[in-house]
Amino acid sequence: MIIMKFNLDSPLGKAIRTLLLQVISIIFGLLVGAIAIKLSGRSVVDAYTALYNGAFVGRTSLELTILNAIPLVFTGLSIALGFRAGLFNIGAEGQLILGGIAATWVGTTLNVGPVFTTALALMAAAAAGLIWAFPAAWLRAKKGAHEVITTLMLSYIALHLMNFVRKNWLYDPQSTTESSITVNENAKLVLINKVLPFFELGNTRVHTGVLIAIGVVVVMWFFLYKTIWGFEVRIVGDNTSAASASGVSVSRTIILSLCLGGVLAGLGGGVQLLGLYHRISVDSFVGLGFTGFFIALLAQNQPLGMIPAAIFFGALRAGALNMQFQANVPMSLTEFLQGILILFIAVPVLGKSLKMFKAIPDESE
Amino acid sequence: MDIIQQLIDPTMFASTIRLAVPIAYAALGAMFCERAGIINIGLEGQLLTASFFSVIATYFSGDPIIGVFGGILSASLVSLLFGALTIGLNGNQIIVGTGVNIAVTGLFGFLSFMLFNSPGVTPTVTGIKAISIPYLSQIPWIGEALFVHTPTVFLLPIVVGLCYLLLYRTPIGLRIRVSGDNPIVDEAAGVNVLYVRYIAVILSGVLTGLGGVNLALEGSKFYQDSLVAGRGFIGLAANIFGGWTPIGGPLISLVFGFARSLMFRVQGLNIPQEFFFMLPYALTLIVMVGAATRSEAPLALGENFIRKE
Repeated sequence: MIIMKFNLDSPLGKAIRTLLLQVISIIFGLLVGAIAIKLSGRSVVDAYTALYNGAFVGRTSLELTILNAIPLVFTGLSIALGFRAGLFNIGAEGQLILGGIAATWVGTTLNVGPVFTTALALMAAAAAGLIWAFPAAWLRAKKGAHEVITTLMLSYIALHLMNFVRKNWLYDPQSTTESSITVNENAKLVLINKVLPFFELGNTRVHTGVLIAIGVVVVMWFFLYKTIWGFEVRIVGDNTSAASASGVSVSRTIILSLCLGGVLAGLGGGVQLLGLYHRISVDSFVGLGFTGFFIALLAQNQPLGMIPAAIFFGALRAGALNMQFQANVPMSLTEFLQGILILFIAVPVLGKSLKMFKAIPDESE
Repeated sequence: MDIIQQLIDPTMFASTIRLAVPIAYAALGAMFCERAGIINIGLEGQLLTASFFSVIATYFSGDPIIGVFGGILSASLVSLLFGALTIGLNGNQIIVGTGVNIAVTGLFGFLSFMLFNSPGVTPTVTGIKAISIPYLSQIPWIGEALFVHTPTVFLLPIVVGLCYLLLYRTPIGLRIRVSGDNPIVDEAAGVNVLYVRYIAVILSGVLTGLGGVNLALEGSKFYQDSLVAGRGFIGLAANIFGGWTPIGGPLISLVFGFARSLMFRVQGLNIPQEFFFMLPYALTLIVMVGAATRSEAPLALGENFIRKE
């Protein structure tokens, strides 16, 4: 009976099972959303049509989906790296903001020609993310202070620091919205139609951050699965005491994974600022870090899974914006759905029920 | 000179107490959860829930008393949801807590838009006014500092006492402490650890309910997304630094209350106000450094308990 021999514990089987779980979760989430819309007296069909159109129909929608997805790839990776080491880097939000602040500072004060200015600003962003992650990493590794509280506190501090930057330090006297000054042209990330002229993309808002995001995903995959450090991160997360017994420095691995997570989130903040915002405004960066938590869960902490997960949520955000205009259903619904989906994914009941498929008797041997 | 004068001002003292109270209720909630072995990040969401529904219930009934019950009941229901997903269905405590926080924030944004067409903000309601205790409030300095407050402030010392008695002087308190340190012992004694943990989590719901009532009905008189602003997490930190005790956490909360009250005091100084907004969070970080060197954390903290049939 060769047909029955499909093994759900094989890598392919696992991938299919994971995918199935995510699809069921998302359908469930959309159902909860439908109930909420229905209860509030709006038309579910209208709302979800607007959601779909806003996410996928037409060039502007698709571009918005991609633009929304870019920073989420970085924060998703950042938080996933923590998860892999058994840590909860909930404060990726703060590290992202610090990256954005550093990129603004470099991008407004330094001008050493195209590409170089951008590169320096991105490096500063990554360094700022690292600096913001380090206290939490060190406290966790050396003092055992819970990283959830420390990274969150650093996030709140980062938020107020950002407000200080846009209102005081780098404030724009001409701005009526209390925004910071704009970075110079050489610091901005090049638009993607400039570097890929042969695709004839025409006018677009999509910037080269999308290429950086893909590159970082590949690097993180390589790091986790092909390097000793990545291996150490994974075994510390799987079994801390066994890792420690076999000579892996647990505290070094904790510091490494949280700090590298800071670098990723900081870089994401830099990319978002230099690619899209170009200056800090009132609502810059809001929620990108916390959404990364959801992206990491949805991607099951797999680096390659970040791209589809980020695109899914990017589409949801883009669609929700349209839904708010067209169907009078507020964007907060996506946040609610995100929370419900996290709860759904967190509970392993569904994972167990999917494993029941495995119980097919293997008669060929 | 001016600063010192402000620091010994009775209103400064009063605002320290007032601003410590919601954190103290959160710290007590955190205390019960953690003593039972559960890290409840969802405290933040529970405070938010109580704030929202105490305002909503007051808005639609016109009676703040209904609002108080609405706040406590709704926060208890959210804590029950947290409990069901972690204790009942064995979900990871941190992930479920984060999910709860994100879901309730989104839900209230959604509901406030649907009800009032303003995402994340509700209209102002009557609320609950401060009470002056007769005679005592007439005492110079002390009266103004200690005896003119809103009801949940006066309630706090009583609640602290009750929590102390419950934890150390009743069988259920003993069961809570054992289920956080060594849940197998509870089971060996014929006690269902899961029920004990449910009770602890629901207690945190009631306590954060009071904290939310303090923030919304007695404080701002309306709900907005940023009303809680991390007080749930600060409560977790206060509980840890307070040594996981019913008295330590609320006492540490006073330090946070002081940091917050400074924000409104030093605006005359030439320092951007953002730095004062950072103070409570920076203080929490410092507290976490100090607390981390302590080692009296419940032994089974953060571990789900799976019953053997």
